[in-house]
Amino acid sequence: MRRLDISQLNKETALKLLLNLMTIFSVFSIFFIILFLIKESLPFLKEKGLEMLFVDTWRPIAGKYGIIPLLLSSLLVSLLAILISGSIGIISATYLVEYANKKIAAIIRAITELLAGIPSVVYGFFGLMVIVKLVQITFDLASGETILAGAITLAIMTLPIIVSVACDAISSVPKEYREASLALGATKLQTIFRVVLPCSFRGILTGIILAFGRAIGETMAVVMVVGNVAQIPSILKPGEPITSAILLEMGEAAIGSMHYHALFTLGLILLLISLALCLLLNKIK
Amino acid sequence: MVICTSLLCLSFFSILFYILAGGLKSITYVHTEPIIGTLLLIALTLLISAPISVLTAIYLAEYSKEGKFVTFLRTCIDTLNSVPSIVYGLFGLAFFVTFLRFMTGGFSILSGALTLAIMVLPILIRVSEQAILAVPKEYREASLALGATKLQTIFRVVLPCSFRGILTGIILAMGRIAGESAPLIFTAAILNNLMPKSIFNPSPFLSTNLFFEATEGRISDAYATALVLLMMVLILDIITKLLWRKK
Repeated sequence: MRRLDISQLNKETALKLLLNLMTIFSVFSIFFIILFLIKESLPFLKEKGLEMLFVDTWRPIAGKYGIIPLLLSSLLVSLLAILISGSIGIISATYLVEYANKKIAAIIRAITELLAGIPSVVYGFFGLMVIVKLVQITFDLASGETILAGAITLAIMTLPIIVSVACDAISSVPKEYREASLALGATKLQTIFRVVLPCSFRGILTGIILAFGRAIGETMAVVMVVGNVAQIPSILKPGEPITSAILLEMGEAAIGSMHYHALFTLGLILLLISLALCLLLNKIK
Repeated sequence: MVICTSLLCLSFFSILFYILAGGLKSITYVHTEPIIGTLLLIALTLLISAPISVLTAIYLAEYSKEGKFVTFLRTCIDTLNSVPSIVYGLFGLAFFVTFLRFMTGGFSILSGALTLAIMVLPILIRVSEQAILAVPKEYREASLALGATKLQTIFRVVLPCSFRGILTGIILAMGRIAGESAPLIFTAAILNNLMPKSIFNPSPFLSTNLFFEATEGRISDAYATALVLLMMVLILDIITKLLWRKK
């Protein structure tokens, strides 16, 4: 009997050790990633760090590493995308929660969740084939590969996030608020815009920030449609977000060269933006 | 309002049908090598990350006490979710491909799997933890009352009970792994459709092939690849939903 106890005790300790080890691994992964990115960015930061903010062109072959055009492209395409998907998403969510038949709403929400699972390359492919053409025809451009095309593609991609979070936020407004508003003589529309939406504002804002984070970090869906010309962006002209630049130029950059380290610095900046958004989300919650 | 909602549905169906139509027309352009590559990748990634995730979930659910420390642990794990996929690619390139070249064979399926394993950790941990917590307290108490140790209780009672939930998480992760492209371009993908010789060699994948084919103008190939990829991910998603509902 005693022999069994001791081996059991050893197993327990071994398991506890294993569990702790695995958890430590899971927890430290994020720090490890940040560390490695910093390590690979340092050579660039040390030599050309300041230049990055003040030079206004990104042309590594010529030795110019200004990130302003890339950063502006990322911001413009993401903000435009959120503008589009935010409006469509919030209005759809309001309809789904307040007006729609329960069964139809359930089906549409299921469809939305499936939309969320589609890989970003597929969005990019669809964007390249359809949306770029549409933009080209509508605005009579030489090529439809523009910031606008990127924004529309990203908008479709982030719709599910906004609809899902907005639906939850709007449903969680207590029924009593709506009833009180209606009892005071307001119409349903007035109730929605003056009571329900303001109440669910915090939840909806969370969804928008989540979607923005997704949009700015998205690579494949954007790189195929946005034109990839590193210039100060404008809506109907091509641009090159940070993510596209990293993806497309890593092939040319020799491992260990300044270009290589510059791309890692771009990655680090992207990571810092995402982490900042994450922190913001936690503050709001 | 109805217009907006219909725009939502319209976009889903238009993507679906557009790729279905184009893909079926070019069905002969389907290659098997990327499919094998993607399947190998999924298997290898899950082999690495599932044990780590489940063990971490067991620790979080069974052994840790609520408090600032545990909140910190969870925050660290959840932060992995917000890292952009291309940053994972950069990390994989710097660490698994370059630094650990001797272990992973440099540019290889293994490097890609290791990178993606870290990427799916948060999802697997969260779903596994939920599944484990959903096991009723009475089961554990009964097991302990019968004289089993905590270890035995976990492995013979709690885990088998939470198996379906953990499986749901695994299938969800499969869909995500199949769809990832950017990290693989930096760690494991090659352009030519050559069958990978081993996990220490690079391989084509459905997701990366779609990108290369679309940007090189090989449209028929691209449609076929998009069709296979989309079908694979949608089927996995639908299975996940069905499993979730049955619970």
